[in-house]
Amino acid sequence: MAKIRKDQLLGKLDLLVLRILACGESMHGYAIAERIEQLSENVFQVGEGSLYPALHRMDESGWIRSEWGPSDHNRRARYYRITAAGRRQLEEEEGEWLRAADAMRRVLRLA
Amino acid sequence: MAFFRRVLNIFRPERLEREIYDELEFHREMRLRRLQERGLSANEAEAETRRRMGNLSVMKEEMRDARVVEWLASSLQDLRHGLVLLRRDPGVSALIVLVLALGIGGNAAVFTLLKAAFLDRLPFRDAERLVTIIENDGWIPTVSEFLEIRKHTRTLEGMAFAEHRDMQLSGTGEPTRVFAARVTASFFPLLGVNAAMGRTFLEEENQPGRLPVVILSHAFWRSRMGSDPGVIGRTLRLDGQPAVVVGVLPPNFHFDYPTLDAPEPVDLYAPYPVESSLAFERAANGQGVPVQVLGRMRTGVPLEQVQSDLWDTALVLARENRSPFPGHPHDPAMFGFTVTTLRDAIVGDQRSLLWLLLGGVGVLLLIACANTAQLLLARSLRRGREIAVRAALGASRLRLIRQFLLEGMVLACGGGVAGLLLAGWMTHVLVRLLPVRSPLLASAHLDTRAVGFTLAISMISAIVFAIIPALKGSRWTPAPSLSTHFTTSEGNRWRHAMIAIEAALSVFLLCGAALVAQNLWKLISAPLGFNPEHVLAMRLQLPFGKVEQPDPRAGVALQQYVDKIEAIPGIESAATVTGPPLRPARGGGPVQLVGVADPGTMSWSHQITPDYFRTLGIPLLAGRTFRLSDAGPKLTLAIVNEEFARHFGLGPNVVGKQIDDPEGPITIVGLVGTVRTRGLETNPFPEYYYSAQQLSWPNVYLVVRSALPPGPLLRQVRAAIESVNPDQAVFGVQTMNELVADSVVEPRFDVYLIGVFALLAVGMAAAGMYSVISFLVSQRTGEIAIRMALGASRGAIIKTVLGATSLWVVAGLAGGLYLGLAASKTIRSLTDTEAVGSAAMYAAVALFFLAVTLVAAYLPARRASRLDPAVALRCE
Repeated sequence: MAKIRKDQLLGKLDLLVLRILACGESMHGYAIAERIEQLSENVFQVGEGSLYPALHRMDESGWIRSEWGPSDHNRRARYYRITAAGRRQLEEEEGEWLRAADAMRRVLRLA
Repeated sequence: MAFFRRVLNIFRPERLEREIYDELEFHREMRLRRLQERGLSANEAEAETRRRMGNLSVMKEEMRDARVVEWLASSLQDLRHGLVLLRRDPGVSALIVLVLALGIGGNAAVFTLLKAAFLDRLPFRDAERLVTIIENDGWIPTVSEFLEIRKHTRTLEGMAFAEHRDMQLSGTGEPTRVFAARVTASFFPLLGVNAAMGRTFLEEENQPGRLPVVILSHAFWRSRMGSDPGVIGRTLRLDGQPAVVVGVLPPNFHFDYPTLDAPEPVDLYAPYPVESSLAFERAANGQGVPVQVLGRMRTGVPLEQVQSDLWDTALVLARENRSPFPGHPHDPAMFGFTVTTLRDAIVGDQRSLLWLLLGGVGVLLLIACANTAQLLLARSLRRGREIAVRAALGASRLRLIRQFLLEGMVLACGGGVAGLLLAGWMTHVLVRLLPVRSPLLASAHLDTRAVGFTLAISMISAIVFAIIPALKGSRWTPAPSLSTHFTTSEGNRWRHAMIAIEAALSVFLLCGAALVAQNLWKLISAPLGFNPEHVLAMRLQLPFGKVEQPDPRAGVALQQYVDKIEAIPGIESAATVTGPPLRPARGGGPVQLVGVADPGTMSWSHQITPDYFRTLGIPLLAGRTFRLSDAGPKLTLAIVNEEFARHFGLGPNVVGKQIDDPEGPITIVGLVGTVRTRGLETNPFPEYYYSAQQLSWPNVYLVVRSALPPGPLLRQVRAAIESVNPDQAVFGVQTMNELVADSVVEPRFDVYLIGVFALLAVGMAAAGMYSVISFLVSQRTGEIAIRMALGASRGAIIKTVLGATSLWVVAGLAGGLYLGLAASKTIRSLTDTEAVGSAAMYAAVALFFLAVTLVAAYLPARRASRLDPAVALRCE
């Protein structure tokens, strides 16, 4: 299966990150990247080049919060956690995305 | 306290840096470990990790950019970087700040004036409800008419009248003339002013025949009364009458606006004698006295309603008062009143001056911005390598643009602060230089609004002048930019466009300056009709009688002065006149000749003593001048001017004709040349002269022709007058030449003002051109050297260097001429200019500008043509 190109993913990276964090636990950047790849069965390969700036941007926007904590391997890692504002944002973006995907599917089937 | 921590981060950029590093390092380790777990070798895992993580510095930059605090912190960093760069060539930076300071300071100064004129509160109670009322057919209304209005109107809650005049103060040392206002008792309450000491006027003090009382201005009390705390109740002699001081006004009270007929600060106030018997008949005879009429609108009544109310009142008055002269220009049926808000009336025609100033400084600021853009553009392109390196290290285009804009802001702030310092001074100087005294503009001061405005225009100009250098300078192409032979023609088109804009704007100002200069030239080259050399003029007012009425004693008293003065050795002749050239006449009206079927013409009259024409060198064309024997209680003789004769289709044979007068015919005994009595800009008027022995007003001008220097001459004249009457004050002393110069003070001011603007603009444009051509030459040194090595002549080199630029300059010139032509109507109406720009004038403007351009282009072009190819190529 072909990989989705980076620029197509770019706009929706926020959505994916928020969705994953919405499950509740706080995660560090590497875990988030891994989870996205896992869940999308490797269709989305998240480049670190876009993930970390996106995380910092969302942190600045108040959708997620970060704090430093110890990791499994006894290393200091930055953990991200979703906020209430992040959940609202997620809801909105999710709805939008699903509507768009739905519309896209209908068009592709009918045309 | 996340926010607090983040703010702290601005000052600890290294902390954010470490966090970013730690986070990415952790990620790298995790990735490495996971890859090794999948069975890759250490080296393979390392390579794969590096591949996946890409350009770390770009990513870090993006992460930093995501942080607002970091944005601020990096702005600070850019700012510091910018300051270092600005310090690197302090000459150019100082030049830019200076030019901007001039531009911004000028705008701030004019804004301060505009603010004083239109925004600042007037120093009167509820000033927005105050109005002035004028009769709009141009004839002079009397107080009695306005008293009628006061009776009828429902929209005005109060009215007051003021009249300004000279008075003579005696009894306290040397007799002096003071400038006084006669006002009704309602004047001070209407403006909401109380006396600082004593009281203001009482209603009954306006009745004629009361013991005169007087209120002093604070300045007069301080300077002339020595701040005497017991001044209330003291008696002064005013116009020979005792007057009791009843009050002193507060120091901040001034109501002496030249636009409201008060050419000078008012020294003291006296009650206006309201004679109700002085009713319509006198007004209808054209003997009304001009008064300033103030009104206070009732709360909530709009100006339009007051206006229509006054129109109705005028109709009622016209119906109730039939004119003795139906169809006559003074028919009360022609009544009509115009209401203006006090502010508009005070600003008056200074409005156009303010617009002119605003236009001038606005154009100057634009040119200053274009010039700054030039310099920054040149610098930004010289920095191509620095930019390329920064871009390669991960700086985004946006960040680079921000860098340039920040540098622009630093320059603009410098210019703004310097401009603000200049503005206070410029405001002061501008007010001092104004052709008319303006208390309203003199009250202009810098305040927070002015500072805010200055900052705003500084920021706007920063964006205007930095945006093109920023866009151009931030664009880079890696390979050529990093190579050592980095030259670029990038931005040349913008540079030229800027030159064209500067050329157009300065030519535009030049056109305006040339227009008003042509007008001034036309005015001063107009024949005066008299000889102003060696003539001293001064004013005097006989200390008796009423100013607004002829007094039979006046002629005799004046002749006594003249006789004494003419007896002084070295004095050729002396005379008195009620209205000398270039000063308004004191009387006039429609004149008809006996036996001539003519509707009559509006003519102005003057009362003169016999030697008047000799003193001013006005030629006698036919008949005779007045003699001392032309005396008597009744007007019987007149001398007319050429224009008068021309109007009736008569030449020299106007002598002997008779003027039709209700009191008997007046015989014309002489014909004299026309004089521009109403100002240089107006055409000669029909005028006639009476003998002062038969009729004279007590306030006159004294003119003395003598080769003596003005100082000693004045002393002798004063002594001569004092020997006749020790109570006689003399004031307003000017040579006739000064008087002539005074009459063109406004056109002359316009020429200086627009001229200075235009020269500054041309200077800046020339500097801009010089810097552009120098830049182009240095850019193309190699090319020029090769051409010269291949045998190109000097002329050919100069042509190459100047070719493109001259095209743009000519385009700018054409644009400027077009602007000048298009705006000439506006400029003419703003400056009261009659002259229409001639083709020769526009040609002169174009030639002048081209000459300046050539001078600016000459040096760099010559440098190019003198280039030594060998040296230049070796340097490459």
